[in-house]
Amino acid sequence: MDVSTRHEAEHAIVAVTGEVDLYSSPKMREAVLAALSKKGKGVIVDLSGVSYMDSSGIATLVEALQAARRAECRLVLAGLTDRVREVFELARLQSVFELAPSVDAVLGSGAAGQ
Amino acid sequence: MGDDGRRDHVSLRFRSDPRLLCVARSAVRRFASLAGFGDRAAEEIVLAVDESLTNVIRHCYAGRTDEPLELDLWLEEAPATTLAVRIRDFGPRIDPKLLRPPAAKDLETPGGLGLSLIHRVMDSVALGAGREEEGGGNVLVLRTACPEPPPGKA
Repeated sequence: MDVSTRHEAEHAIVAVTGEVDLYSSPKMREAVLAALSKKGKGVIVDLSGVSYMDSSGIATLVEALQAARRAECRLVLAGLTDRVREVFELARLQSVFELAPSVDAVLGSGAAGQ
Repeated sequence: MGDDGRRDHVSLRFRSDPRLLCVARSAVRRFASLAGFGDRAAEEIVLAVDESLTNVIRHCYAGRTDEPLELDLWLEEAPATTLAVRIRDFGPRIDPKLLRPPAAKDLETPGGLGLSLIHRVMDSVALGAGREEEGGGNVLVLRTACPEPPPGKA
């Protein structure tokens, strides 16, 4: 798994690629929580390159959502692949998160999220 | 087929290092595909096995990365063709009651989210004790029915 963070239009974009599991999820956790700790319009986690995610990945994103709410920061999960979407559905957590088809869809929509 | 009714039996032995989970997942993915599961169903089985191994590493082995793990995969006729997964650890006994599906939305339970995924994917989940003379520990067996073969191709 690889993770990289960039800034665009006052948003932090955390791009995750590869397999998110017990081994790799701490790296994603670190990057997403670091992005949330910086003041900005919001954090977008780009999951379009994720080929596999287990419950430790889901739990990490739930933790990030809780941190985002505390910080009153917007957190969007963008570009879920079918495989990742299915894990969210199995976990019955797909409706908890703000989802977007892509990073561009979030940045293009400006503040018209939620 | 072996005398024990098991077919296509595959065994993996590895250490409880999360870095090795991807190897176990690849084996399960290919095995499920060979057994006739489509991509989506195969991926669900991969997830259930991964979650089971993750729970052993986190909760039974308390995150230690050098403990032994065994993963066995086979097919059986019971009476329909079934894919079976056996995960063996050598840690402290786990109360089988802890393996019941957790209450909905109970994300606070250790391993609760993974456990609910396992129960949603597999037809049966059974936890027993490993034989003392073979090192004790826990034996988790997961089963799920294989898809019906297409007509004329049985």
